[in-house]
Amino acid sequence: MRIEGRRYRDEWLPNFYPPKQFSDRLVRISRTGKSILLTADEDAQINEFFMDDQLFERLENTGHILTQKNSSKTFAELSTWLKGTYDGPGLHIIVPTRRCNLDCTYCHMYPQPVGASTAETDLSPDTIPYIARFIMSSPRPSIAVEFQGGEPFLNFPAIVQVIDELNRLNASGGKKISFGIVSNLMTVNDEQLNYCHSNQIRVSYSLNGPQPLHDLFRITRSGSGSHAAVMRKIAEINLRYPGLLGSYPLCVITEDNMAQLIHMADYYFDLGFKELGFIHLKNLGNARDRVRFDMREFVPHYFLLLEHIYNKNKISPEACYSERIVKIALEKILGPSNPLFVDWRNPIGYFSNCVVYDTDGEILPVDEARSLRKVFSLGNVRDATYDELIRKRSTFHTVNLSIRDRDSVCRECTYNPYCGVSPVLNYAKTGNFAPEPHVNDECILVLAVFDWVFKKLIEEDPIPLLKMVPQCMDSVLQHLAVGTKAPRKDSPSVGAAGDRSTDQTVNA
Amino acid sequence: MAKMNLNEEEASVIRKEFGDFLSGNSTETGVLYAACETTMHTDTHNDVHTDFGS
Repeated sequence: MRIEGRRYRDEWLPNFYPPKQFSDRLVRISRTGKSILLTADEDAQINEFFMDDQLFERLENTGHILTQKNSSKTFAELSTWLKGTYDGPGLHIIVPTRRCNLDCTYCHMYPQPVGASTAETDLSPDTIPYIARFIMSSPRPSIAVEFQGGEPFLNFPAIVQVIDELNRLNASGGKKISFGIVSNLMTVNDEQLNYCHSNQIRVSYSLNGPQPLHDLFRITRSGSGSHAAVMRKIAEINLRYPGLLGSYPLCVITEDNMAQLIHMADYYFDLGFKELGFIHLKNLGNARDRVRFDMREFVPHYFLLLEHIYNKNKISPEACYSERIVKIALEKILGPSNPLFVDWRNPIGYFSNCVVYDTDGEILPVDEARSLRKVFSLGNVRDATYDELIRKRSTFHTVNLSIRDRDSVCRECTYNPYCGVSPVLNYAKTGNFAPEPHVNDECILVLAVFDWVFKKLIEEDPIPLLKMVPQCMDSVLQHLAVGTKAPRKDSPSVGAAGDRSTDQTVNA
Repeated sequence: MAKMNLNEEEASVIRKEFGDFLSGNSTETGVLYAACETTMHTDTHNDVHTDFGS
């Protein structure tokens, strides 16, 4: 009874999640992260006795269905989509000190005063070799080491010792190691800046909008604002050490500034920044009970901001203003691999891709767990080895809880492969480890972002949105300009991309 | 730095490429597909944290 030109249900297995409708099209995402648009008629055929040959071939080509012909290719694409997930931790966060010259209201740690006892708050020289050995145990060939505080520059000797120790252990050059420091910039001196410049250490920093907003949060222990000092320092560093600072600052969003996102975006734009680094408040450390944030209140403001950026890119031909959450979302849609943002993956990259070392050598799965050590500690570098920890099921407790196919609601979610929920943040907010769909903050944000992005991509001109991924546009245009097709992934890299090993970590 | 001031011909090619990409009609030799494959691979081979500024 088979008819030529039709394909039947004994020829394929489903490899997709349920669809979502945008005007007359439906989006379906495969388990290998590929998005496809279907008409209502095409989507209906997925649930019928047979489907047209052409539709079958499209779904087979994208891996939305698994067939005898594409099974090897689709599993290779699954491996590519989950690239890095099982390769060991590549991001290692070290805390040189818990002391800080600031006492920001939204800080997700408990920063200690500059004059606090260093014996209790600083990373000691004898702990560093243990940390360095632990880091070098990771099989990852490319390692990023990030220093977080407190204010890391307050214990600069520890930073230098870590770098020296890692370089000594890596004398054979077996690993590519890059370094970054998260700083408020206020205490860093010339000697430290020269060292960073000489050793290609990039510095990430915060600027929380214009002065009144910045100084609402980023204050000293006496309550003074820090905006003027930070602006002076940014100008000075950019003049003397171009490229040392991250290409845009981070900015925390709370209920106190969420209504002013557009104002803040214009402020950064006028300062010459090309990307916005907004981060929503985390209910941790100083922020607990002092500052509020409600994701459902945030989303409408966020949509207004995104419309504002989209229109900026549309109206001004030269503009390519980006917002990092949307940029990552676009990279998930456009790219073959899930971007390696350890805290926005399914499964999340806690310990599997990221390890945190507190000042006393305590090992944590992510930096947000630092203020919840009793709950999330995995051991101490002095008596636990990497090889021991990767064999323990308990090490991956938080990772397991982030796997979205565990939850029946998430198994029926269009955006399942693009999701990323944090059991640590969920615990901090609710006291429960398991993120609950449509209640968890990251879930709400992911649903909102992808709804907005797909709506723009499908129902409006995609170009103002694609400008938010300039490296991709750049590559396309270069190849259009020379009238050739883009090279394959095993060809030499396009533009500057190949030199940007930590491009998403530090500046281009 | 990307040239963002597209002429109409370039914009139209990108729109078509993008349409093909999302409809599943793009082959591995498609400009957008291959460009994304190349740039995404080279840009994301290190773990990062969304808390760290680029």
